[in-house]
Amino acid sequence: MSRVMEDTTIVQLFWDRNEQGLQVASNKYGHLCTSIALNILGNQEDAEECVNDTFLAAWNSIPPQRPAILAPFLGKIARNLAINRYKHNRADKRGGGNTPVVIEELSEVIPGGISPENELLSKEMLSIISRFLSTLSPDKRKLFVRRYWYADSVSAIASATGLTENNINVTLSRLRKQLHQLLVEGGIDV
Amino acid sequence: MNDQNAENNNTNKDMFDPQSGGMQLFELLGGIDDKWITEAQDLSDVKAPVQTDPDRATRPVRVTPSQPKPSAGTAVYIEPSAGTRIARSIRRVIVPIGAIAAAALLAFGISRLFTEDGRQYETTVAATSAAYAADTTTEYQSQENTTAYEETTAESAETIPESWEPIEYSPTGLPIGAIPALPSESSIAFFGETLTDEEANDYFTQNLDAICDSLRTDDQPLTSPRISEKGYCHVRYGSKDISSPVVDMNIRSYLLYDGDELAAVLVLYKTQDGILCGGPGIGKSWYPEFDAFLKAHKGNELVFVNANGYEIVLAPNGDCINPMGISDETTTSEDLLEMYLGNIRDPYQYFYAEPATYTP
Repeated sequence: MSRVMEDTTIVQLFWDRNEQGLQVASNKYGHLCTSIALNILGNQEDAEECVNDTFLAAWNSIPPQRPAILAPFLGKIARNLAINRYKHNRADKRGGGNTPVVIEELSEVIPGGISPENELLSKEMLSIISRFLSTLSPDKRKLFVRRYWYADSVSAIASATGLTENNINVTLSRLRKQLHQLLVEGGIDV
Repeated sequence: MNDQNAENNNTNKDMFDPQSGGMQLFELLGGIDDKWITEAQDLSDVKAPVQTDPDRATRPVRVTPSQPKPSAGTAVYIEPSAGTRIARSIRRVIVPIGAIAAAALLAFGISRLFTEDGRQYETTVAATSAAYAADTTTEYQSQENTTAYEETTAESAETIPESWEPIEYSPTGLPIGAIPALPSESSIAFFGETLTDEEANDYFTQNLDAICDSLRTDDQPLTSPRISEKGYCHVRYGSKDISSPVVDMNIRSYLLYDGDELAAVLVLYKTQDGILCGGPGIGKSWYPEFDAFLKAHKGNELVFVNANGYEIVLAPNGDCINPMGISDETTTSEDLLEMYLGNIRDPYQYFYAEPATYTP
């Protein structure tokens, strides 16, 4: 029997406007959101505010939403908020966590960038990325997602997996090249 | 943080335009499937890609079982809990829930989530709910991961605060406190800008693929999806801020079928700006029972009630169901009606409002 409150129950508490849901969600997923925000921002104070905003945003969006699984739902909110704050901080030339080096690596995939107005192209790219991820082995996919979604440092991934940093860097480099090739083959002008 | 700083030192930050390709891709990756985000939470079983990786120079160093490394996702913890402070802020504007919260928690169907043993459910869940409903802020602040949280919650379940009064149960074994007070006025009020079925159907036409993708990532692939053309609102009551039953005309639910089977309930919401948003609701494990109820009442106009968060569906012949699954083999419709709707003589007529009806 599980003693950890199920996500469905937490979501129902949100729907009932029961603040206990917020507390339980915070205790269950606060670490996840904090690590994501801290990875991106590299600043504890900013990350803390970001996590605050994450749970507030969740409180405001449930209802009407009913996410079946809270981890990715909250993680995505935290990630988006952290990225927005990162952009803001970049204007002030401060902070950044792992983001600068992650972006540098990802720049190898689409060095030229795409037009911000080209939403259709973004959707097509996301479709190609999804196909790319679906073709990877779970291990490689995890490395890719930890590095480029969670913005984990290579050393943190190495600690968690037991792999060497060199091993991880080589694997990620090859994955970036594969993704670049897929985008080119998919007709994306990168 | 040292590794972060080391990496940053090797990087010229000024070259990172927010609209650079790397930044765009970083943002774009935010839209990947939830299942891969969830999958990557556990890195403990990742193995070195040896056969396909000729550049690998050394064997991977394995973490010894006696000294487990923290996962990358839980390396840093900020206390006090951020959510706790938000909760305190929200507490200023939301009336503390106290005993009703615990009873409510019990009432909306978590029996299915915890155990099939009814007696064990009553004892353990009641205690756990009591622990949740008590002010456990300080206790939760020191938790550093989910495992620790589990352990502490287990302890809390066995250490009910002295100030906590035990929950009373009706003869049906269901918590008495779960019954929300009836509104002082019986006339039904209608709030919100009306969300029409036509608008909803347009929305679903454009978003069916995304909805199906969302369900697929939750391991619920659909082969023949079909969404009901007509939806339904809910007559809700029980909130402290309303004096009569209310229908929110801007929130409607629709039934998503896979072939002939109910696969999900889609909740659609129309904002003040006229924007529609929504997605699949929870509860797929409960849908077969709800589906059977709908099929049994084919052709009947059902009324959907939201009793302070507890959904109950009323049929004209007096049958009712809680789609969240509170009912079991021994719980009759009369038990449910007593629990949710108290002593209303004819709840179907009492709560009848055409926008909150659906005819399967």
